Amino acid sequence: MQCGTILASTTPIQVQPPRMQKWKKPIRGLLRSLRIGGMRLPVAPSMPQWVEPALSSSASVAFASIIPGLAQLPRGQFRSIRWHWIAWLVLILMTGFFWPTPPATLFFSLAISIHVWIAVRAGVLEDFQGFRYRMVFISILAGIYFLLYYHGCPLGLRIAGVRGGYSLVNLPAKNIETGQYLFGRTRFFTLERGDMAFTLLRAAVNHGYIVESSGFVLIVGLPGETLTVQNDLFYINGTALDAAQFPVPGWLMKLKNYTTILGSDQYFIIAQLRGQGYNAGNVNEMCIVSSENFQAEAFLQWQPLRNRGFIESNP
Amino acid sequence: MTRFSSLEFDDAGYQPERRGSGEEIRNEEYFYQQAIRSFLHGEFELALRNYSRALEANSQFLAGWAGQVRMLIELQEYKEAMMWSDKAMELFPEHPEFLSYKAVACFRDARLGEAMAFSDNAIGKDNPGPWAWLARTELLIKNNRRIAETCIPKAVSCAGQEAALIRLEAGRILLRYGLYTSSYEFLSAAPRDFPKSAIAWLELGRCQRMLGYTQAKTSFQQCLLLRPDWRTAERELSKCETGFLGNFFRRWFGGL
Repeated sequence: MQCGTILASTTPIQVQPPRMQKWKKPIRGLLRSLRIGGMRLPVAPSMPQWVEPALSSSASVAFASIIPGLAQLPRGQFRSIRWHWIAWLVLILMTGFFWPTPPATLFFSLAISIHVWIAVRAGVLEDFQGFRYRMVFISILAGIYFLLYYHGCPLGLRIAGVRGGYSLVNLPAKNIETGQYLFGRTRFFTLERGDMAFTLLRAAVNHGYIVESSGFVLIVGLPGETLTVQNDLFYINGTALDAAQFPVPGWLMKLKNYTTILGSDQYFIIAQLRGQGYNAGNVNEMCIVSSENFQAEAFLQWQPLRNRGFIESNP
Repeated sequence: MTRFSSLEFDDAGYQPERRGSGEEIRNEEYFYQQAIRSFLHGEFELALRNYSRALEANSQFLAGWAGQVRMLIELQEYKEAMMWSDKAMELFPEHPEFLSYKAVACFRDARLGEAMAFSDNAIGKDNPGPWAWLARTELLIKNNRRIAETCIPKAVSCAGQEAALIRLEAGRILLRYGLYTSSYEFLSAAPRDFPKSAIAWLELGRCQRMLGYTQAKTSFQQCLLLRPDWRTAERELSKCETGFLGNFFRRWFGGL
């Protein structure tokens, strides 16, 4: 460097001024009017100094991008990804709308892809040079986000007091069939005869074969009642139940005279099972469930779309 | 180049540099003249774009930065004007012109305390310049009209070749705050200085209308001749059709 050399910055100077979005104009006008009227409005807090350095590494950007657009928000770059964000939101809503059908899986995948792309736009690849490294990191990121969705969404539903599951019983009177998807509330529910409740089933049936499943089952017998299966009908304390409301499953019909007395904390439920050779012991093991095993009471039929709606209360 | 040295934008004042074929060289001066022309035509968005182009040609061009901030204020984007003044002051630290623009932006955004602080800072500099005095005028006009009006001659006296534009701006400020008789003094001269400026005719017409002068209609018509289909001018012209009583009351009470 010689004497008299002028050091000039090679960084181009931004010469395009920032512009106000049109939607802000009436809001600013209103605030201005309030200030003119003498109102002291609180000043919006400015972004803390540590935010920008904190978002300088790929890991921190990836972490901040767990919520799409959060990494862009403090830098004022949200506008650049707003359409991606809207697309992500629409896909998430469509995933929920079609859940748990195959189209929902497609929308779910697309939502994750857009989520990863939003993270990429936030600069998540800054620390990675080279195509292969970037591809590997993007794959890992997609996997992490997938796991977050996979475990986060059910967790969110549980926090909201909702639980989803498939119906394990055919109920023509309520237009519900085995395999249809229902939602149930996990809080503030009381179980009565005719309710559908979510429970875990584990029973040794079919010559010792263990059946494990979970889903919504129909409650037939309540604590302290005497339940009998006879002539393809349920009898509670000697009174026959309506066969349309409480149909006896085929596998249970094969037991000619089944009678049980339910304990003070036991319910008798029914579910469709495949297989043969069930005896009274199997029925006791599978159909008698204590109250603590019930996790939710069904209130909404979600799939198929044609039957979507709230489930009528028990008769 | 002196700023505003060629404000007779369609006259012979500005001699653009030309290449051999006669095509104008599109440097910062060229875009600056285009911006001034757009401003005097009342097209603030276009003026802003031309100021930006001037800065693209030369980012150290002070008049370009100043013009951008003025246009942002004209477009009522006060927060952006403040931000852009700060940006300009990274290149021109503590420049009184940008401090005064910040003062005006704060004042029009009803942040009076901050506005006065910026104006004090600008006036406290050596050679604050005409824009600092104009900003001072605007800030003091409501509370101390007499002192405010003494700032305008100071602004004009230190404006040099920009005096015509400063007079126009002074007239616009006085008109904005309802001092119609005082503003008429400056705005009546504006069409002489800028005979082809739509905004000069528009502001003069507004002032005349508020004073109840029948010439207002002619001024707006002249404005529309220069810039046909300008809705602002059309609206103002339609307001002139208020009839005898409206004009009578405006003539006698408008200047109060």
